[in-house]
Amino acid sequence: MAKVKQVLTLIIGTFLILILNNKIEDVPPLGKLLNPFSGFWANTESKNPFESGEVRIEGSRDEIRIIWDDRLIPHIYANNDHDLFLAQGYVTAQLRLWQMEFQTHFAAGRLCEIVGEKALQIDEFQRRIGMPWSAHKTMEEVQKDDLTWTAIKAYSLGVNAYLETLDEEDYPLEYKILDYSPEPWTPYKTALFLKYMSWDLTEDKEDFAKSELLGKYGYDIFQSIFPSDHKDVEPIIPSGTPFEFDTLKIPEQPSNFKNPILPVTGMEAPIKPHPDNGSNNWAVSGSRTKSGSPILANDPHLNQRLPSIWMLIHLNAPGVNSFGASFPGSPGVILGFNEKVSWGSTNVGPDIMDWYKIEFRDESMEEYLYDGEWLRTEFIKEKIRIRDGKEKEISIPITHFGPVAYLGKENEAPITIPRYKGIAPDGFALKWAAHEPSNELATFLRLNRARNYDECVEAISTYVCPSQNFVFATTEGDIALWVIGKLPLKWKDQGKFLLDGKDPSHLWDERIPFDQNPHIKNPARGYVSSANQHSADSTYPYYIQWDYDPYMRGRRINQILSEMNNASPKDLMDLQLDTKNLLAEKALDAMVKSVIKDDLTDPELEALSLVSSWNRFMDPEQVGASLFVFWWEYLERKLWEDDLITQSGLVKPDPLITADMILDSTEAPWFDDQKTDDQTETRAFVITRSFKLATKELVKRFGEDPNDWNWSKVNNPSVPHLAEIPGMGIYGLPIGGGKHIVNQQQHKHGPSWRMVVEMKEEPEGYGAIPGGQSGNPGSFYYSNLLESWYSGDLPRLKLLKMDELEEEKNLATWTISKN
Amino acid sequence: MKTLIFSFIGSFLIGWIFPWWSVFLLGVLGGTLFSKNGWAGFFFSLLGVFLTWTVLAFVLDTKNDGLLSGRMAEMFSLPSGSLMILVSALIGGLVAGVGGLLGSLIRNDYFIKD
Repeated sequence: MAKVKQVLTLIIGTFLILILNNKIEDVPPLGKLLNPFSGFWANTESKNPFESGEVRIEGSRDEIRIIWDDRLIPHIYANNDHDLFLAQGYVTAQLRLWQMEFQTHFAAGRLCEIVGEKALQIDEFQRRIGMPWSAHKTMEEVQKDDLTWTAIKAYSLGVNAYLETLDEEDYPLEYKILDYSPEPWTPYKTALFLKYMSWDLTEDKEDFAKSELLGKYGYDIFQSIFPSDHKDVEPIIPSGTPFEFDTLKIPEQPSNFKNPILPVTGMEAPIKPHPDNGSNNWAVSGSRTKSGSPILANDPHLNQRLPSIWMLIHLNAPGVNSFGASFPGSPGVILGFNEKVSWGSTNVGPDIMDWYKIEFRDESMEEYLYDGEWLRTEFIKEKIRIRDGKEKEISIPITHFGPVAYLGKENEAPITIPRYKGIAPDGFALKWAAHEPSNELATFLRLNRARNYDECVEAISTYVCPSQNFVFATTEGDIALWVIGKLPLKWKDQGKFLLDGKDPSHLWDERIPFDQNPHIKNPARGYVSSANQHSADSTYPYYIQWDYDPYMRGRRINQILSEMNNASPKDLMDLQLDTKNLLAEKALDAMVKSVIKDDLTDPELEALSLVSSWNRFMDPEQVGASLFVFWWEYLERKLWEDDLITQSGLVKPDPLITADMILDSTEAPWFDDQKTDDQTETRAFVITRSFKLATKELVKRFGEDPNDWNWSKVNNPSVPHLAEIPGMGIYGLPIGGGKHIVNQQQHKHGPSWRMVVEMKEEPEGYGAIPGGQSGNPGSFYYSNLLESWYSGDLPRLKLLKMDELEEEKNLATWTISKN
Repeated sequence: MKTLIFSFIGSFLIGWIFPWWSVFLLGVLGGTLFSKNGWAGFFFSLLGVFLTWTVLAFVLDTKNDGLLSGRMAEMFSLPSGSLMILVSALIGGLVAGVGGLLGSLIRNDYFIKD
């Protein structure tokens, strides 16, 4: 009996340990995670996490100084490039190791290794669109440029030097929650990160859905709601700017381009970039500023996450003294300034991601038809490892367009290999500028050390993808804007719909020569600006794309800038926070007027008066802002749901098209609901109905009292954790803004970095991110810049010399001696 | 009482070197050496580790102003960060306690035969 008891107790004990030492489903290993020696308690930090003194970084060639200022921004002082990037890798890993690895695992299609089989679709998709494949091509390119290769190699050494110092209890918190360990960093991971950004910033033009609608309505009707030329545009390069150059021969539209190529069911990417990735930037020349020096501003709109996508850093070595936002995972400052120039970027969104229908000869997929001939397919094999030992191998056919990302016949899931039953399969090959050999990092590293406008232009000339509107301001007084990146030479509307992989006239390859990319320097109006709207007006000879952001943000920025005199950096910070809603200004009065008042209840009438008397600013306390946003949302749904539903969901036209239909004197047939046979719905009916639905939803979600519908509560601006781990995010920020607003703050998406730089003889920079410097949720610096980011009073970023820094309130000074 | 002191001091020493579940072995050892009674072996081993873990977690939590424990509590849907100290210490204590029980059973079976 005694033996039985002992064995039983031993079994219970062992069982308990096994349960508490392993991750089970989504429950973290509790014993490992909660013990105070090596669990999450070991990730708690005090207010001053670093001590001053000697620090050893394996691989340093000369003495390095790192000063941590009171915001935990590292200022690195090195004597050579190798040491500079070595130290950058080291400190970045120290603050952001988990994030760096997680993002590159995502890009590489390796999430299954961390979270198991549930990420299989995402991983497979990443491999099929060629993320790892193109990152390998980038690796070949970066080795051709000495500066880039030095930077990437040293950065990688630095990350690994930090990794070497870690014991298990020092691992970032997320490793403990998700129960895995970090692996060594490699230069290849930096290439993967750059592809991740290319993917995130290549706008999804919904070619599959657009082809489906082309098939449903025919070209002319389709073009009437998805036009390629918009009226009222206020392009980035101001109208009237002459384009004086010898243009290349522009290809002609082939006769078959209006024939729809139909997608098959279920071709839907499991993950998509956020549709509102966009940004603002502008530069004001000295003629409009108080100091007489140009001022530059930039705020890129991306997913807002913790740890933040950006990390602030000051890099100092012979030939370089740059400060700004860096990407954890990549050396250099990406958006920032140095002693002579400042630069900021926004997305262009050219159509550089197109899909070609491929006809294979047979199920082996070894040959496909092009220009009347059978061409050989190449195959790449990818092995997806899944947590707990399983593996999945996939084989991806590569054509001369690119990888065949979608394979399938009707009713088959998109990215599973279909079982062909003796029928030659179809597929869709992806042609994407990010697949081309390129080295975007070279551009950023050279901007870090550019000394004037000409050197900036030289730096951007080699850039390929993703296309950006770069704004420059220099201490010499120049301001400029360049649309940079590969703009393919296309016939008009090429790639607006799915393309025919058999037809050589559908292939694009050549680029518009760099010096013919739209650009402007020191315009007479005294400012340059961009907000993802049209690059240029119709006098620009080439076709770039058709689906730009609507003009609202750009127009508002230009309105304010054109009236700005004696500008100070604070004026530009205020403009970044501007919340005027131009869509409401255009359409709201007409909407209110159209409402059939007799159909409204008393509370609805009260709500109508609230929205009609609203001041058109998307400020946190405004109830009218919430009513307008919900009303507009329902209006678009009621108007388009019966017409524009595709296999990929509802595809909405540009909001200005909808607004014009509301304002138009004649009533568009689109207002009639195709789902009702017996009656014809009118504009007034749809507008009234959607207003009732909007108030109903507000009542349901926020209660009957309209005082509880204030915009910040409804919009709920938030910064969740990158892996959406509960408790690690910040919700309910008291801020305004919204879609198509200069302050484009939506629920979890918006300005990810706000920067203003005055280009005085000694430039004065200001900036903050919606998060913090540290990626550790147990750090006081996890969200330490958040408040200054939204307060509108951006803190100074000083290009201090090392001796000046001694006087500041710094957290710690590290001396790294030569190894 | 000896079990308690052994467990308290022992868990503090081994925690820095061995994996968290070594408190189980510590419990077995303490129980075998000092506990005549199975329940006492369980209880005092549990209490010793519970106290060590509580003290250590409390010190770290105070230095951190409860920042991370608050986030972790939210992750586990617990109402407050202080509860994280209790939950953590209970987990260590429970494992040690089972070890202590096993230890005293072994002691009674092998070493204390009348």
